[in-house]
Amino acid sequence: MAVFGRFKAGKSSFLNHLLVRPVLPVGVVPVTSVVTDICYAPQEFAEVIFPQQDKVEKIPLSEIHAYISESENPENRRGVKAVCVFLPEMAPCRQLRLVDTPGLESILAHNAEASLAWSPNTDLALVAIGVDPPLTQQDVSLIERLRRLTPNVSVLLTNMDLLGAAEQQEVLDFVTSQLRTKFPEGLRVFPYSVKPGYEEFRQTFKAEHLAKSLAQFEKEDSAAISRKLYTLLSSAAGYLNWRATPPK
Amino acid sequence: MIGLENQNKKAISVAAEVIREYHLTDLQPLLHAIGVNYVDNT
Ligand SMILES: Nc1nc2c(ncn2[C@@H]2O[C@H](COP(=O)(O)OP(=O)(O)OP(=O)(O)O)[C@@H](O)[C@H]2O)c(=O)[nH]1
Ligand SMILES: [Mg+2]
Repeated sequence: MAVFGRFKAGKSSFLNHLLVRPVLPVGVVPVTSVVTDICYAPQEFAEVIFPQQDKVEKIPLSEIHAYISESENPENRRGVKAVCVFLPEMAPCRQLRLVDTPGLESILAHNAEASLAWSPNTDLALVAIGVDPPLTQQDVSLIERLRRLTPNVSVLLTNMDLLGAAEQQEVLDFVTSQLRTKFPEGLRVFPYSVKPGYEEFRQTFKAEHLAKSLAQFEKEDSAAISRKLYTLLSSAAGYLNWRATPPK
Repeated sequence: MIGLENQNKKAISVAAEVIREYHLTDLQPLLHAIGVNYVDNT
């Protein structure tokens, strides 16, 4: 399950909250600069993957900041392809990989490039959208893009704690109805907040999204592959069609 | 690959050929994403 979205939407904070552990660096300025994979292992450690023949360096978990944060690895100067974090906490969902991606739309274009370059690998996509502003054209384009890669795209409406109860409902209704007009097949929207007092959002997300996806893992997986295959074949066919000049 | 039929495998190789022949680099990551599973599960 990969989390995508605008910078500062709260992607890394959400994954930390889900893991009940501050694994990923978060902050008020663009932070995540490298795609980070989180999966199960009985002991915690991390691996830094470099593009050269997939060179891998094993590091302690406490050192990942030096590779995945914009402040310590600006513009990804260390040339990291990805970082994999292995955690015992992932035991209940060991088939799953959680993936944090660098934010889109910030002044740091390389972050968006890294996210989008990785995106074809996604099977279960989650688009993080903050409540303010709720849903932009760019969010919709991102959803369209991801839906060419997998049918399983959902929305995480973050920072719900910034609103009062009535406003929360208003924003949720607005986002849900806007998305319904753009995507009539439906798209699930999960409200979220990492602040104390909003643990029910995490429970609902786990029960309604994670548990359900895990229960039909193979079905979801093959649906994602079929979707990618369709996109690949229709793009290749489209290109051939465009090239084929009709005879005079 | 799970559930991938023979005609799909054929179609993937044709798509791979088109991508290579015409240098459609934009499509390469997608091919790779499918190709990895394709190798893993057959
Ligand atoms: N009030 C509130 N603030 C939040 C919430 N989630 C995240 N934040 C804050 O929002 C800011 C951005 O959080 P990050 O998790 O770094 O956001 P990101 O989407 O990972 O950002 P990039 O990695 O730069 O793309 C931080 O200051 C967080 O403390 C939330 O649910 N409520
Ligand atoms: Mg982040």
